[in-house]
Amino acid sequence: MNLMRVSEMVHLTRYEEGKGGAALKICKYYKGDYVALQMIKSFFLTTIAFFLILALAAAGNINWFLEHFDQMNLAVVGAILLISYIVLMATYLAVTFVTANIRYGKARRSVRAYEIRLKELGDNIRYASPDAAYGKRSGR
Amino acid sequence: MSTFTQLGEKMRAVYGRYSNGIDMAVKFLLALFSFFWIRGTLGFNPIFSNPVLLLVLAVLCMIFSLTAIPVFSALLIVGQSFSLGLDVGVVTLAIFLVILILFVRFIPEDALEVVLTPLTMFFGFAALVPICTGLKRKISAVFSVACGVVIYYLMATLSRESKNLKTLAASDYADRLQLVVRGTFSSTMVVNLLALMAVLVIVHAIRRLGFDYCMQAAIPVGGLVYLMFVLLGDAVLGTDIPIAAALIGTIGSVIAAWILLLFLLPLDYSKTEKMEFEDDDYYYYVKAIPKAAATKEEIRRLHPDLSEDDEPGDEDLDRVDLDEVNFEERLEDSLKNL
Repeated sequence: MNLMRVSEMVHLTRYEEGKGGAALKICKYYKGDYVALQMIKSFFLTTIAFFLILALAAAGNINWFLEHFDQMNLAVVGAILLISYIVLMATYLAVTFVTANIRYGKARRSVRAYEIRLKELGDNIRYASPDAAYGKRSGR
Repeated sequence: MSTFTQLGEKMRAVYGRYSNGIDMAVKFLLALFSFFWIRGTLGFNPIFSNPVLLLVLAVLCMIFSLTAIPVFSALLIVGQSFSLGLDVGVVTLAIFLVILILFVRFIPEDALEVVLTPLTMFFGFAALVPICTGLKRKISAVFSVACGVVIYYLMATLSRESKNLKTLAASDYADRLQLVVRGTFSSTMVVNLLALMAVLVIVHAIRRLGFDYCMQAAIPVGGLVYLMFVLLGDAVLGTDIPIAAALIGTIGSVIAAWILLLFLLPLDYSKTEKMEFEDDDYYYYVKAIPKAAATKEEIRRLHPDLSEDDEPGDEDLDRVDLDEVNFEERLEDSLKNL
């Protein structure tokens, strides 16, 4: 039994079942697809959140709304709500874009290192003999 | 100072041996404490206050990841709030959904701050969690702290207004909803939210500067920032945060954070090494600060009755003389193997 090979397999399995699991799932997508998917999710979730916030704001000021409803300019109120929605959506889409890019970059780097080690394991580069030690790799 | 270092060493050695068991025990105790605290603060519903149910949930939290604790805590709070009325329950659920949708997507995986922030705020040490989080975690943990602050004020409002909510008829939904929403999103909550977020960001920023004793400097600065926000909030918005209690709590938070830092990250700045080197792709500026460690002789001096076999493990106590280590060579070697 090549103990170094077994040790490497253990490390790779731990990566797959631990922190690397999420990274591997992310890297199944192309970067553009992953970021687009996250932004679409954000769009729908932020829309739901906006209406929930609106409902909470109405609940907290319901007496005021009932007293002043007939004096309100609904067009102005509608414009304010629309602008608020656009600002909230733009903010969250921007945050989602940045975080999705950062997450994908980190996942890609992590999976790249894993793939290199997996390929070396498959090619038996470092584990040709039980006495093989980590040393300089050719071409690097 | 060396006493803390030695105690920290022993604790780390014990943790290294029994980490699985200790992790599960800590998760169980934290979950149990949180659930019973929710029961003590709210406790309106006999089903969700049942100690057996809470014990079972704590056992489940022991098995699952840390994320289970805030999830079960949220379910308990929502369940308790429905006892005050359907409208109160729906508002509580809506607040948690907003938190989930807007913030939870961006917070770190284990979200420990969501559970610890309300607990420490309840005991008056509001600044403790943001200071410790700023020293140890990523900046995105600021969302966890923010969620924790909102949850704390939601629970405080439900607890404070429970009698009024039970007195008001279900048809007075306007007054009931106003009590809950305005009580939660009060000026006090806003001031505390901004204060704690600012504490975390500033402590994190100072830590990232990397000068000697930056962490030790960041802790009192964090405390001062919190007090500044509290005083400004009181002057500008007329919040009802008691200043004396905030001062005592902040001093306690700073002391507790300092002690935790000594235990968890004892750095020996007197042996800082700076080096520069380059490889094919980058030029490196490296600053290495060794962690302070108790020597074998110091541990034996503390426990003269311990035999060689009773010590945690010689491999834990073997220390290399730092003057003999060539950090540059070792770093170059490790980089070549990437």
